[in-house]
Amino acid sequence: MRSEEDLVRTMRAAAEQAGGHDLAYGVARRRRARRTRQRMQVLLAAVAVVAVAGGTTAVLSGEGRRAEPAVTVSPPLIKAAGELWPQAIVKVPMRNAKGWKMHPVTSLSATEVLLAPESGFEKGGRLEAYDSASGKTRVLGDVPSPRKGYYLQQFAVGRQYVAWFGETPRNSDKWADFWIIPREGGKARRVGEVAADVESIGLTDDSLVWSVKEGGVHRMPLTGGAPERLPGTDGLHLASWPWANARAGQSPISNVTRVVNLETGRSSDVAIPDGVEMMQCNAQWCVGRRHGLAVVQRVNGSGRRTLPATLLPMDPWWLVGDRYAIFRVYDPKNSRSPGPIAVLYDLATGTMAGLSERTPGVRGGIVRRGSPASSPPNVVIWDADQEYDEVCRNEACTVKARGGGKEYTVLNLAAVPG
Amino acid sequence: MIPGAVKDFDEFVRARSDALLRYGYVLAGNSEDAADLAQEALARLGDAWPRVRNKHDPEGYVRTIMVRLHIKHWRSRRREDLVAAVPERGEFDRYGDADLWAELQELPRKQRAVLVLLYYEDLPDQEIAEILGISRGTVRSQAARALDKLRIRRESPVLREAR
Repeated sequence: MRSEEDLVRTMRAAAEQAGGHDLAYGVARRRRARRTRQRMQVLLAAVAVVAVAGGTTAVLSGEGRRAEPAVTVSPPLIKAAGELWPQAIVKVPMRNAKGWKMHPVTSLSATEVLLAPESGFEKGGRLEAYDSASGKTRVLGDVPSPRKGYYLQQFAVGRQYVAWFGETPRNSDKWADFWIIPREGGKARRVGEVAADVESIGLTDDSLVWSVKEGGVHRMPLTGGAPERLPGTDGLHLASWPWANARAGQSPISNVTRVVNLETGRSSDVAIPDGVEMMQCNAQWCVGRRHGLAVVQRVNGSGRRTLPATLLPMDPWWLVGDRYAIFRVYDPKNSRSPGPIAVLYDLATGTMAGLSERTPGVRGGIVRRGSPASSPPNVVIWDADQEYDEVCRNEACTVKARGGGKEYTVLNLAAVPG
Repeated sequence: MIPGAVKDFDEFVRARSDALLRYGYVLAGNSEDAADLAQEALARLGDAWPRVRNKHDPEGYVRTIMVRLHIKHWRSRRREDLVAAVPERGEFDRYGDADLWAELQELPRKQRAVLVLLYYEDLPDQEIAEILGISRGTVRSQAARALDKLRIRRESPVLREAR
């Protein structure tokens, strides 16, 4: 049995996950829309009076003639990723030889995809890599579970090692440990443990680096030893070594305000246009959302463009690889013609590639980034055998998947010619 | 509206946004819907501001609108807003108790709302009854049913009664 305290604690912990939206803009917009609507109704009522006075039989109703925005955009013609880059598409079995469900995390090379047990685990597991050249899976090694209630959190890939950190998320104490395993496989080695709320990790050639939830980047030699806080990293969050970001607020989806190279110490402020939220940046590019549309720009604000409403930023974790973003394809006419569920957008060139295929007539589907990776992962995943149904109740709709479950279709960005 | 009142309202929005988003998140279970609920409730508060700010407690007003909207399955974006491409946050569970949080999402909206008002907002039964427009008996029976489903032991009924 659980206690009432468990319920209170869970609700309070969950509340902390609430994203830091800036509500002021949305509130003002809604109030404007409401006033416009009221004016429209008054206007229509006036027209009706005139019409009746003129002796015609026009029937007008304020409710029925509400001005709808004229949506005339149609989805762009987008080539499928598999058509553009057949060498980058890999089919990976969802279960390993032992029957465990595995999940693509990121890629190790142009042919190898790193696979981890899908949903975290408490009793240990193992890391594998699928090689598209040989069509075979190899085992990197076992992942030990050093504590009760231990869950793997995130992975990072370096030149020689794959690293991860684990936590005991249901305990209230702050604790995490760091592990590495050689890329070619071998025995996992614990680098060290810390009493901290770790949020992200990275690998250099000789150290493991991490940032903590409240900001600040630390390192520890791969051979073990005392953790050391990198000077001048107050408030910084590791993005992808050597890059770190400062954010406007506590929430991980607050605008990134500064991009710092921790190796050179060079720091650039992000030019954030008014009204942009959830601005997320890598070394060169930033993607944010304004009025529901995606805004893409370089860190310094140059090359800024607002993408059409046919490409919707739905979730702030839109960055993938080092120069791509994923957007959902929004088809206002809900046409029954085939098309992609989402697109991969090349931030540098604007090139687009279609990801997965929608079930005709259904506005949705599932396309995901690799996970759980500390840096924007190098793979995008979907289940090509899945079909979708749109289930609507009380004017709110959700998309439900059916079928599939055998293999992932993985787009390996390391195999995309750049 | 007089300019001073507008400034007042903007300040209220700025000052209370985070707390309202947290409340919305516990109610709705995700940040999109939380922001949606908070924005709509604040927009309605803005329209009623001159009336509300002197007479009532504006925060209570907003929170009441939020929970009522939520129970009514209200969504502003409706069909346009299906979450389709869902790039996953690279994290496993960060909640106090992920299973309990997941089970909370499964509850009918009204039951969940009653639990949020009881345990997150820490309100007495009578006030919850007024906010939701139901009887005190219904508040209790909904809470009891929800706690049973979540396999939660009810402690100190006398204490709760006395508040």
